[in-house]
Amino acid sequence: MSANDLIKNGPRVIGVGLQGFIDDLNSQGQQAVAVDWRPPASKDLNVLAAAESLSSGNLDKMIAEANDQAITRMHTAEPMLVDVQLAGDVIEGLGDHKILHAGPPVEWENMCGPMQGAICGVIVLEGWAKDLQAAATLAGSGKVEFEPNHHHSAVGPMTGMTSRSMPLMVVENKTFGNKSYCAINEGLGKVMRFGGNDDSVLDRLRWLESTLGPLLADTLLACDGIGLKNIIARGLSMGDEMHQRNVACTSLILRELAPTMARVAEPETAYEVLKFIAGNDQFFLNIAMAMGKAIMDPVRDINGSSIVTAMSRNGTDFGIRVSGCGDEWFTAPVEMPRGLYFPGFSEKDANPDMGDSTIVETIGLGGFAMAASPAVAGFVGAGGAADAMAYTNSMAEISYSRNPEWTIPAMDFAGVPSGIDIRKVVNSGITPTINTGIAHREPGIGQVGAGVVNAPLACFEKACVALSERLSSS
Amino acid sequence: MIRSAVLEYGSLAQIVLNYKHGNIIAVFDNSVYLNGGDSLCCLGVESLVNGPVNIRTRLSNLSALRVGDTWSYTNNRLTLGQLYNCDNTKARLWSLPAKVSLSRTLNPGPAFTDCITLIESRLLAEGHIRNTLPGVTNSLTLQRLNYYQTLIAKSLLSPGETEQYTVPSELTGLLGCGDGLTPAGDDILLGVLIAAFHFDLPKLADCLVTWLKQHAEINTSQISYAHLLAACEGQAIEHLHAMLNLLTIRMNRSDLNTEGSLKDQTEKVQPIKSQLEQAIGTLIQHGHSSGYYTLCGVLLVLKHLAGTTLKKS
Amino acid sequence: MSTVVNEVRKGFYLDSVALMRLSAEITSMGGIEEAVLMIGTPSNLQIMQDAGVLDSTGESASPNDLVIALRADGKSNANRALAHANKSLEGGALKSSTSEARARTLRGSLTAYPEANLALISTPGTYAAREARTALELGLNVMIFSDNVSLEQESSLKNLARQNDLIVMGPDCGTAYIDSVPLAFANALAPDGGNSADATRTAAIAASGTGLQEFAVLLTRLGGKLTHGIGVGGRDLSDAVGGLSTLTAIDLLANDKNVDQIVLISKPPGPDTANLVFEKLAACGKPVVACVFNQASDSEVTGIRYASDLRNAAELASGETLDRHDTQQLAQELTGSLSASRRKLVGLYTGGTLCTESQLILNRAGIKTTSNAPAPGSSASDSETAHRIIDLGADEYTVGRPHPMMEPLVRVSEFEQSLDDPSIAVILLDVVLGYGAHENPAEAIVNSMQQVTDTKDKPVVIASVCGTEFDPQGLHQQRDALTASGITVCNCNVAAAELAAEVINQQS
Repeated sequence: MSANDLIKNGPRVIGVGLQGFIDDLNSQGQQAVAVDWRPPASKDLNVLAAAESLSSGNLDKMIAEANDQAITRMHTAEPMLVDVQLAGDVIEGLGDHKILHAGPPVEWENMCGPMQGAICGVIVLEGWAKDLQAAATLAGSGKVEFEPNHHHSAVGPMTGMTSRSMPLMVVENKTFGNKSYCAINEGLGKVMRFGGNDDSVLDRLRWLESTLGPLLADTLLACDGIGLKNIIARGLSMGDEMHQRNVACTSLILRELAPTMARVAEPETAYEVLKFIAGNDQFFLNIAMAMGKAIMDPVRDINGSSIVTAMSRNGTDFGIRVSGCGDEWFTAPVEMPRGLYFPGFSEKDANPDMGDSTIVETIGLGGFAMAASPAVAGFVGAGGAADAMAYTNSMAEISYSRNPEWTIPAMDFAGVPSGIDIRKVVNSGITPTINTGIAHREPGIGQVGAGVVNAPLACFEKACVALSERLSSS
Repeated sequence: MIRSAVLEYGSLAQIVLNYKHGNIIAVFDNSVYLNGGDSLCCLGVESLVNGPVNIRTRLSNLSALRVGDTWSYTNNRLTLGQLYNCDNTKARLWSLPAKVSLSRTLNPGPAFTDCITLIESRLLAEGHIRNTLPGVTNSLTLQRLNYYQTLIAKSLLSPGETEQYTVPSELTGLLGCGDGLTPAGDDILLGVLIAAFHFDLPKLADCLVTWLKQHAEINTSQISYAHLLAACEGQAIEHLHAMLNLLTIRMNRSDLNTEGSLKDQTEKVQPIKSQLEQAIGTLIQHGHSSGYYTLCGVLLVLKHLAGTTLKKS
Repeated sequence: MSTVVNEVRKGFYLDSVALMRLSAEITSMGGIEEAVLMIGTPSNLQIMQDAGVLDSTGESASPNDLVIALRADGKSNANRALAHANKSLEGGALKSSTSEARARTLRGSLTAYPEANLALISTPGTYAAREARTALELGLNVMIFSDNVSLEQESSLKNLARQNDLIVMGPDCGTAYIDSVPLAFANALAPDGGNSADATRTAAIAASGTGLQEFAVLLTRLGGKLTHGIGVGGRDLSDAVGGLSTLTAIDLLANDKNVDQIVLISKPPGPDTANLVFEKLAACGKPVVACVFNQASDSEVTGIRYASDLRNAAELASGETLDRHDTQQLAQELTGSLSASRRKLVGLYTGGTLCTESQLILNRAGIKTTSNAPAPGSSASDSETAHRIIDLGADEYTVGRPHPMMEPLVRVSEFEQSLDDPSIAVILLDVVLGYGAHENPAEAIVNSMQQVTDTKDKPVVIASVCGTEFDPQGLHQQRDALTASGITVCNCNVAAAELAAEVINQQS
């Protein structure tokens, strides 16, 4: 729109600041809209300068090219659920006395209650200690090695425990040939991902390892894997956002699995396994997470790209990784989720936000696709349908693109926001909204509610400064 | 800004849009009322019924708007507050369904009776559902509505030999009587007026129009007044016109009376009758009680018509 | 003992289903004998009267109001029920959502309004440059209402705009008209931009807000037509900025078929910039009027008509003359009742350019003035003995309080002090109307005047109203209110200042 256009066609105004000026124009029948402007959230001038330099001139052009490439890689991914294998067989170096956890790196002393509880449970499950107390001693002794899932092409919900003998679902990105892993969803109630570690929890994990895992593997091999992109597309139109609501996608995947499973399994085993999946609305979440990781891994390390490749929390810190900054983590203390609690529980019971499941938001689902799932908006205490729409719209403001294949019917089939751009986060002060379960702060109690949490702005500020430094030095 | 399209709008709504801008004066989940100049129109979701003061759009929910928000209309684009944009380029102007006239050649007796019985039984059945609110005020309101309906029948609709209709001055008490957006009293009067237009009773219509234009503005809400003004042009919601047309079709087939052969009953009468029943049902369901009381008004005219026609024949 | 409580909600509509639901809900609350929610038509009020639920509050309702009428077995139950009704009506229980879907960023808004071509930025100054840069990068022209944008930022934004064929209006651009549409603080013109279709179509380039407002008001009053008024900001013509926006504006207006002549309103430009701008203006192919305050006559460029003040500029542009009163005679009438000891003049201005213009007019009449915003020829010293012209919109008066054009109460204390000061002969005021300005700026002045209605010995008050009949405040309503309170209202600021000067000269 040149200055000439302004003179020729008259003013078509967007107001930034005082609302009254726009009201005056509207009252004269002029079309004009007002930005819901607020002062930038960042107070640090260095951060604002970095974000501004990344958003203008040649740097902006260079970043745009890099981001175009990042988005192309995201959108051309072909993720397929292909197999179930033992963690020790597929993750290099995952042997004795090594446990992978959710989020950015964290030491035993700094882990939150549920995370420590889950670690102890895993140690007992793997047989490295005979009981939970001995396990705690072992974990604190420095003889057990901890590493983030994200460092090993893996992800895990909540505490995100991954150890040698756990069966992991394998998602392969056929376009780029990379594979990602995620443990099998244990169901609701007292489960390890929420820090549960008693006998019932461990028994269920053993059953997953001995029964469900192998049968799922046989089934997937027999049907040559299951394409996931299409399931997501259909799930969105059926009211799932793939983080707090997976009931449609779970049903869809069950429909894919059941016929083949009936052929490859003993009837009684098939019955048990299908019944377990059918009774677990969130079964698909772990598949969606592995898919997210498989989609985002090829996007890592594109020089200049400001797209977020991972968001994750370990119950202590929230961490993000940015394509143009390789594998560096940018962390900040994790925030408390706001939401609704199950009867008998309240905010004081809640553990700070936790889990690798934010990979789902990183690819434009979960909180980003809230408009597809008004039911979730209500469930997590985020309001009604109009509020759900507003969430998705505001996430579009911090995203680089929209996903043409994953669309939301209620928004005239607009694609879900795709590719979180750290510059837009810092410039607007809008941080990613994440739909999340809320864990009890004590180990072993489990989920006590659901809500939304925002990624801390500081992660994105640090990333902006780092990216700006990288680009100006190169 | 949510974008959408205008689908259809009524002729009086068009006049409001021509004022170019105004305010939103009432907000409901599925519709809002806009003012422009001295007039009003109602803008709503796709499922809003067509009518002279209505604008149907593809918007899905309007409850985010606020009373007092401005609207403006330029270049075929209707902007509501800061939130919604409606493109009007492909919209259609709604026009009244073609009117089916009452045949003057057939003896309408039995068919009339049939229709009146049908409407009365439906009103009776629905009345139980609608009039069960407790309280003195509610029963006083009902008493009054009944009183004025009798007054309409005995006074307004009894023009005598001269066929000079006059509106009894007392009837101003029916204007604005009852609760809701369009008070029940106004709905009754609207039903009478539209039926008068439909059944070609120009003298009745003329005297009601003159009277309404004198008295309605100060005696009822501006929203209800807007609907009454449209009725003065012979226009109301589509449901009402559709029902009146089916009613006429049924009456014109007075050769098909209820005592006909079994074959006639099943093949000829039933299809028309069930369509008519459906149309009556749709009308009654309109609004909370608007459709119900509009039908009461129609019934008054129908009985009057039956009386005069039967007397003549 | 039964208690009846009524509440009337003005102009409130609720659909019938919700009303029924709510009244049933309230009736079922404990201790409630009768609960009604009805619109207040005469016949409904009668029914409520008969039902014994109406009190004097409810009786006052009109047909467009909602009446909530309750009869309860005690005050506390009635109040509880009323509170419940009100809470539900506020929307919580009956509305599905209160969220608004407005974008938080310029980029987001542009997605919703891709036809936009201008960003009007009025954020606090610290953030204005950033938003302006974003706007320019998104291909939007920019009007920066905000002040406190640094010279370096201004210069870099304007260079960026020039590279991209865009224009930056401002910073500190209070007023603009584009295609006759008033932006920010601006007076409403006649619907088609003012007056007849065959009137000469004028476009103005102005460094200041009220200067452009006064010019637009006078031009259209004289039958002229204003197509555009491009505000460029007070520093644009300084050598540091080099007139970047002014030069862009000249190009635009020279090429616009809807512009017949160009008017420049400004303080004297920097010497280097002056050459550039005036040469370009002289060569633009259209008649040019320049109103450059205190321009030295030897620096005038041939081919340009120079105006001495805003009235003169409007007259040159329209070819018509604004009515003149007989200043000398009017001043005599005004001084008639004035005691001889009253010698001083105080000007209390809300508009910066009007303040400057008055100083120039007074200086021209041989009256030395001081000001917090001194025009060339005035001095900055604020001595109590001198004639003072105060710009109440200057920073020292607006830190921590609203601009006097938005909030006239800001002027009240200075005005009332001056009214009580026995040494003051004349108080000179401006009253600026239009969008952005206070809805009734005359009111505060009239209230102060009323306090001295019965005082015989008081200063003469002279004012001018910068406004049109199309302004939301209405020109004649404001003028009439001022006149009725005993103020002499002149038809423009120049006339007011001239009359004030004459009064002072006659007193001394």
